[in-house]
Parts: sequence; C-alpha cells; structure tokens
Amino acid sequence: MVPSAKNGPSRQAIEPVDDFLRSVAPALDRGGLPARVFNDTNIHALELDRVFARNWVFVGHETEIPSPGDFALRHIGEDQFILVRDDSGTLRVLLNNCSHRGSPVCRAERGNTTHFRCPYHSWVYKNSGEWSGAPLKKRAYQTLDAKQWGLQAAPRVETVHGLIFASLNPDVPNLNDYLGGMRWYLDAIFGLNEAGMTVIGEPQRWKVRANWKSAAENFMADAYHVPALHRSGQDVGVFPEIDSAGGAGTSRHLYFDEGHGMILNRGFLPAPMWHKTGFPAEVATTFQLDRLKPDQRDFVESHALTAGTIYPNLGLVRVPASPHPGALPVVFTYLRMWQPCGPDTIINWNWTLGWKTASEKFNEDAYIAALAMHGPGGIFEQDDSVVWTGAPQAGKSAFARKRRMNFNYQLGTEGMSEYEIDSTWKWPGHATTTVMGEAPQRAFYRRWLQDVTTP
Amino acid sequence: MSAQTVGDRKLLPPSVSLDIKAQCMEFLHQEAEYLDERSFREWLMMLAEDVRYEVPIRITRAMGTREQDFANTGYHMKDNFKTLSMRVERLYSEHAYAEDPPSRTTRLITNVRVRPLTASPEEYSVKSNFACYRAQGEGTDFDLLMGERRDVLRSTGGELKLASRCVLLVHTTLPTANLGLFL
Repeated sequence: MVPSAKNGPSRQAIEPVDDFLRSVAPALDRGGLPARVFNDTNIHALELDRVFARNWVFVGHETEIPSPGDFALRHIGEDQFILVRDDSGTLRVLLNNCSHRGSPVCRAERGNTTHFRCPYHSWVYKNSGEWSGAPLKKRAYQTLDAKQWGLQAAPRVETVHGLIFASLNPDVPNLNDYLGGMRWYLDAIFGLNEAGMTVIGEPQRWKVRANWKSAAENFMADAYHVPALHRSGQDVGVFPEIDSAGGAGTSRHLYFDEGHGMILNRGFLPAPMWHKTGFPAEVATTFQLDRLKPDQRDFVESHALTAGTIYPNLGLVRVPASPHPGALPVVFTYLRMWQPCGPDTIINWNWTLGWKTASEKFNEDAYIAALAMHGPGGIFEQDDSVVWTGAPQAGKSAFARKRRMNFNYQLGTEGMSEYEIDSTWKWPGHATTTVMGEAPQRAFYRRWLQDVTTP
Repeated sequence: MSAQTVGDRKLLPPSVSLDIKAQCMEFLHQEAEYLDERSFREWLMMLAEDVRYEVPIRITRAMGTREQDFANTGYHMKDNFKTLSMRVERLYSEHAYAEDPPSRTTRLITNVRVRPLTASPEEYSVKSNFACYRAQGEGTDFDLLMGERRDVLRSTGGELKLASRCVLLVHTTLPTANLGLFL
C-alpha cells in the first residue's frame, strides 16, 4: 500500500517533504526547528532551486579581478561559474559548461584570458561569454545563430562596496532593494573611505561536514556559543574576558525579516588607543567619515560589527584579537561564503580584507591575527568545524524523524530571558537589547521557509 | 650501472656528508614521532625561536603560469614561535574541542633531500615529502593530507632546530575540517 498523507505522519517511514515543510512554521512559532531541515536530499534540491538560484549570492570581490580578462572560478549553489571582467570592464558570471556538450571551458581557478576555448570540439567564447567561433566555422556552422550559443550567463550581476553578487533569477529585485536596510550598515562597515578595502591573497577553502544553514545562523547571531565553545581563547590568553562576547556582554542583535542579521558590539576596545570606529588611530585617520550620512556616522561611532550574515550564504566578521598572548589586539575583517555540497557538507571560502589606505604592516598584522583566530587553522574556528557535524547526523536519524525531533530555538522567547526589541533604535532593522536570544535565527528560518515553499 | 652514474651521466658527489643527511632525517623522524604521540611541548623544543612556519594556499593556474600555483600571497597558516606556542598550549587545555577526541595521526616522511645553504654554513635546506593520516573517534572516515615540506634546519651547538618550514600541500581545497594539527 502506498502511504498517503491521510494515514498521518506516524504511519509513514518518511513524511513527504511538502507535508513536512508545512509543519515547520508552527514549530518555529513554538521556538523549535525540526532536525530534518539539516539533512534531507529533497529539501536540499529545493534549496538549490529556490534559495541559491533565486536570490543574490556572493561570488567574489572586485579587487580579485581588477583588470580586463581577469577571472576566477566561483560557485552559486552547486554550479560552477567563471567570474570574469570582460574586455569592456563589465563583470560577467558565466556557467563553466560549454553550450555544445557541457565540457568545462575554463580549467584554471584564476588567471587572465581574452577567450575560453572548450577542449572537446574547440568551441571558443569571448571573455564576455559571447560565442566567438569553432573549427571549420564556415563549413560546419553556416547558419548558426551565434547570439544564442554563448555561455549561459547569470542574468544579474551587481556590486556593493567591491562585493560582487550574482543572481540566476532575472526577476530578482536590484541588489540595493534586496539588501534593504543592510545596505545602510554595509556603508558603515565597508564605506569608511573612498578607497575602500582589498582582498589579501587568495581565499582559503576547506571542506567541513555541516549543513550550510548551521554556519549562516551562527555568524548571524550566535553570540551565546562564544564563551562556551571558544573558551580556549581565554585559556591561552588571547581573549581574556570571553564572557563579554556572549550573553552576559553588552552586544545586541540587529536583524531584518528578509533574513539578514548581525551581532553588534559597543566597543571591545580601550580608548584612547582606539578610535571610535574600532580601528587604531593610524588607520582611523585615513577614514572619511563625512562620506556617511550623519546618522550612519553616529552609528559608526557607537557600534561595530562583530559578525553577520547576508542571506543566504555570505558571512561578515570584524573582530579584534591578539595573535598570541601579550600581543596587542588587532582588528581584522573577513568575508565568508558557505558553498553547499549536498545537504551535509560545505566548502568554506574565506577572504581576509585590508584597508587600501592602511599601512602594509597593519594589514599584515591583521592577516596574521585572522589566521591565528579564524580560517582553517584559527583556534576559534577549528572548534566550530566539529560541532556543526551533529545537525546533519540528527537530521537523517530515523529515530529523530519518528520523534519529530525539534532543535531548541526558544532563547529570547517570551518570559525566557532579558531580551527585547529596542524601541528606541533610530536606525534600520530590528535591534534587540541584548544577545540573549535567537530572534534573528528564527527570522532567518522564516525567510528560508518562505523560499523553499514558494515554487 | 654504478651508483655514481645514470646512463652515461655522472652524478656529482653528495654535497652534504651522509652523516649530516642522517642527522637531518633523524630530526624529521623524531619530530613526526612527537607529533604522532601528541608530545607537542617536546615538539616545540625542536623549533628555533625565530622559526617561520607557513602553509601557503595552492590554486590551479592556467598552462604557462603553473609555477605560480603557490603565489605566496595567501596562506592557510602563517605562524611564528609565539603563535605556535599558543596553539600548543591550547592543545593541553580543557576546551580544545577540535582535538577532543584527539586526532589519531600517522605521519610518513620520505624522499628526504638535504643540501647545504651557501650563505649560511650552519643551515641546511631539507626537503621532504609527507603523508599524514588523520582520523578521530570511532568512525572509519579519515583525512589524508599530503605534500612537500621545504625546511631549513639550523645546527646550533651540535643540535638541529627547525628554522623555517614551508608546507606545499597537494590540496587546493583542504580535505580536512580544520588545521588543528601540525604538518
């Protein structure tokens, strides 16, 4: 007998995914999230189609490909693209599969080229993706409509403060509208001077057994885990008062119903050594804060980003840390992309940024501190890579599915903790009074649910 | 064919003595033993205080520029004695969760090539290839990290110390969840 929804979930080995997804919103309303969302091939297929091929996805930084012909291989969801600056200087995001038989036309991960040539039958494309030719062209393809046979190009490519985003959805709102109020904060994070920030070196990449959403929600708002999981930072003397970074500290959440969010701190750093922007004076003097609107300037001088997520899979971090005990803390900035590889695996991509106007020494010190604390070898981040493996395990557990196991997202719900929306917040988004809650995570999953349930 | 010829070509005499080469190999083997048996503080004693320890990022370049696979502008790790000491102390702390349960590692160190460094008579260029098997807990999954190490060993008072190490991984994307181990 074919199980049907009428039999109820308890009599079915595996509940159909549509029925299951209908149960997620009521669970979220109770502060729960079913483990199954962290490991299910059907849900993952929906995510590739309805999250990654629908929204704006980060693909790289303009300083990685400054000159015409510069390219880098990147991913949107599980598809590989060539991010390239064409001969006219226009940024293109081209599917790395030949229009003829699908062979990869670009096999280098970085480089500079005028054309991409497929090895199979030598179809050739300009670096703009246009079809450019093939062997025996005049005899073989007398009536070929070249305009139709270029590389498949992402229909939308836009940038903000050097960050390049692409969308596979021609009808996506423009990037500024997509970012909404987050754009206001990105000005205050990356737009502190006209020169802006530049990527240092190549991005690190490493494979972690995790579902991409575990990383996204962690960067977005999980201050509560910091003094627990990352306690070794205090043990070895590089983060002396780690409790201040957690629920007991003075940080707050800032989030949007669209699924973006951040942890904001009110200054970890001692004055007068540090400027109000959170940077030492030698860097802060290169900032042009008059570029900002007056209220953005007020924000910059009173709050700073700790970590955040731009929905769906871009992470932002700006934190101070000492690379070893006794060293002065140095503040570093990085971008993180979680490339999904099936429901239980991600490739982490990590770009450390320096200020173009900062000294080489400041940027190098920041890079070394960033590597010591974050990235594949960072003493903080090593530990995240092992705890995130559990959600996909529970997600595919037969017992967890029978029991309809929900993970707990009740932190900050009514009566649970001192955690409220700050009604005095003058700037975009919902700000909370503390970080002792999980409102941003619940908003992230509501946005995600809306995407995966909308054809 | 004698040991001194390859075809009709004559090999140059070894430019360091077999004794020096044996000392360098013994150093690498001792180091691997300390790391495999998790004697990290003992391992730290084998490093010079001005040690440089780097793991540059590898990416696939186009034909003609493949010698730039390691552009040496990006790194997975870029450490000195103080940061390495911090990492070692962490491994003895209660909260180094990435190594709890600890990695079970076996390092194979092979293809050792020792050459004198012309500018500094007390230092040797020591290249070696390595394979590092890493598994944790009850599972049968493992990570296999491989590559070449380009070391400088310095002889100080009759004792060798690691003065610098550059780890050239075969990997572009790291196949392991973290670099919570030393290569």
